[in-house]
Amino acid sequence: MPERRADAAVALVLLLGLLLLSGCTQWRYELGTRVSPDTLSDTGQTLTLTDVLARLGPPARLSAVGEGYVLAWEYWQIREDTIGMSLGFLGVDLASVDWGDAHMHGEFLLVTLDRQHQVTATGFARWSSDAGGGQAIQPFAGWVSLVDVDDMLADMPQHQWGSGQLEPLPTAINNSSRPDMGQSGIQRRGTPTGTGQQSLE
Amino acid sequence: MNRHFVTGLIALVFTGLLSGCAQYENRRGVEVTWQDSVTDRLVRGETTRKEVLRLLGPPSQVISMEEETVLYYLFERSKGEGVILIVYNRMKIDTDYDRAVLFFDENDILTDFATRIDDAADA
Repeated sequence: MPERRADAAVALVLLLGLLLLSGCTQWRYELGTRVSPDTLSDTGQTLTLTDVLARLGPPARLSAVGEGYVLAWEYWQIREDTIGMSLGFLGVDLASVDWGDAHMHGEFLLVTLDRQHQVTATGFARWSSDAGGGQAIQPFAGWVSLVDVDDMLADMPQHQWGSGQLEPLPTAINNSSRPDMGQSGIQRRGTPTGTGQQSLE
Repeated sequence: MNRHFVTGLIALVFTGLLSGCAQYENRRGVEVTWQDSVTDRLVRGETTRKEVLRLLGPPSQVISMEEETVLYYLFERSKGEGVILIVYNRMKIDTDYDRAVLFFDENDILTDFATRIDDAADA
């Protein structure tokens, strides 16, 4: 008999939880394929473009820079969790409590080559970090977005080569110099645009 | 008089019910690896791009400037907070940037560089 009561209590708590959690959303994004620095481990001899492409496949980003080329491979796991809880049970139907959190894991491999297609340098980074989040008590609706990872989910720059010319003027003029367009350098996903080369757009 | 008081009270209660507040934080960019202890090892006219990539990792941007190359490292941290009263809303957003920019000549030798880490990042 006490077991039945315990089960009923658990069920009641679950039911109450379901009613209170009026909006709970989890998004999981995975972009690209995993990258490992071991793929280009130092074998004592200079690697060529052919070696690099054979081991890593086509790069996610490439561009001519200075006296050579730069190629990059990237992998991203992005997690976005949001919970919205109505305060109706407290008699405040008009307000809700919202909580959001975003986390990202990234791997990025950069390879530079000279005009003779010899590797001149490599750089690799792997990181897991908090991408943001917040909490709010908001009336009626979500007036403030607590989590926003849209900039991390953008298409690869090559998808914008044509449409880039149709952008509004400050952006269109800057196209030939933008490092995210694959023509005069490269840019990592999620690079802030509030400062640096794209700050006037 | 009584009528004004009741109206005022209703308005006050209504405003109280419709009020809200929000706090959020956003982070973008690369991990900050350009602390003084690291950049002290960089020497203009000597350090190569290969050594810089090994020390600092891949940058946010690789920018081509004819024969020269620029590596730009960026980290952005913004914090926002505000009150929501429907008819009057106030948000305050503070954004800080940690940056490092390094210039290389046609031989991939470091010619110049500058770094900055916002005080808030050290706190």
